[in-house]
Amino acid sequence: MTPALDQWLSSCARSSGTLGCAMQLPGQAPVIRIFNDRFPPASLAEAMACLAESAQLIYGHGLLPRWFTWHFELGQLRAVLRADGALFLILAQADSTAERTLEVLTQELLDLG
Amino acid sequence: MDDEKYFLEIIRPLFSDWSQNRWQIEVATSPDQALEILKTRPIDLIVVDVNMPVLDGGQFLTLLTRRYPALKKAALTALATEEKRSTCLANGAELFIEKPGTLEGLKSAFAMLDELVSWKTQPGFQGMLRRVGLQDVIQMECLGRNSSILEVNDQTVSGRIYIQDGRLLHAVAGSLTGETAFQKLLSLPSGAFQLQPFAAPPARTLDGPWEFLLLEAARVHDESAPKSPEPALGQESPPENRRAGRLIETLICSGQGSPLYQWQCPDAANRVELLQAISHSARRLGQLLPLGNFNRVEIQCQDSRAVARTAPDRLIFVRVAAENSTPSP
Repeated sequence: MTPALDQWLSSCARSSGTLGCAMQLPGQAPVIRIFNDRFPPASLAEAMACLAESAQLIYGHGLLPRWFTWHFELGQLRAVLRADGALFLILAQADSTAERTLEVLTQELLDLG
Repeated sequence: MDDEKYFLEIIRPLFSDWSQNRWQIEVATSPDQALEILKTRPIDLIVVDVNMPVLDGGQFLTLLTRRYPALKKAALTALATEEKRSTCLANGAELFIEKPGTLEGLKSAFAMLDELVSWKTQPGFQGMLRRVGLQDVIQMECLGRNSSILEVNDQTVSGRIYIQDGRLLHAVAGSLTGETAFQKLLSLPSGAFQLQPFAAPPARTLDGPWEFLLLEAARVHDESAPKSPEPALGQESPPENRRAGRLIETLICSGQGSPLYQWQCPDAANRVELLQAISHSARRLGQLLPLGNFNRVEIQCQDSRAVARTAPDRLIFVRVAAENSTPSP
């Protein structure tokens, strides 16, 4: 993982309401950061796998997502797909600063190069 | 402007006194006198009696709105009814006041008028657009992630739609609230609207993506409208709300995946399969993470944005074009 990506992962924690974040680079194991005990790393790793499958599924149905967001009652899961095949996940609590900064974090990630 | 001269004689010195001479008051007992005054000097606010002979206050307000769009207007009547209120607001009045019968009532009316006259014009353009649907205005506000209150009036009803950061929060239309009120306002064939600065709504009665709420309002409107002749087999006539062209495709299915309504959906079976897979993934994610009930997934593509909502009784897929793009099929 590059220092820039590591810094981005750390920056996710800055906003209050970030419950966790993760990234998976092609051919590597997922890197997971948890900021709330109710979301164990193993669950987030499984969620990453589920999101990777969902991304493939969406591609398979003729849509080319840059990112997609799963809205739940208590939070949002933002999955960002980069052209290099990397998959990122941000888990934000509903009605929190983190939820409101999802667009900024996503753009930062896409601009990282 | 009031045809009851004695009323004008009473309020003129009172209002002048209460405003501590900030107000310069002109009085007119007929619309032609009022128009003459408007021609000769700048006027900030006109207060119009609704019950006037020959040209009633409602019609006069329409004329004023067309001729003097920047002029602030208030309507005054001794017999206030909901119908009169709606008519006056639809015809351009910013305030509708029942004619006070007591000194306290007059003071209260003065305070409201003083507040109205002191409103500063918000930055932006003001004007009239013909053949603009409420859907277009709502789309514009939501796509721009704006916060505002959309005030809507026609001859029969007046209502408000609260929008915050591009999300629809609350709707009220007469005694209705929530989606019913929203659908009622969107079904109006014509009327007037004004965008007001955002203020917190008294309640939150709308939930979910604005695309769905607009779509559902269009569906309810279509279903309640008189049936026109069926289009030829394999063809669908696009409803009025799609005039703006931002919507690319729409599909509504039963919980079991049977298409109930579709529009320009290139491959309904493909979309049903996608919705069912999304539903499956949402269940799995919901089991893994304690996030409560699933609401929707939003998919941001280069050229478009899709929203998929899955509920036990309904699967919905809507895709709208991104700004300045030509969507792929």
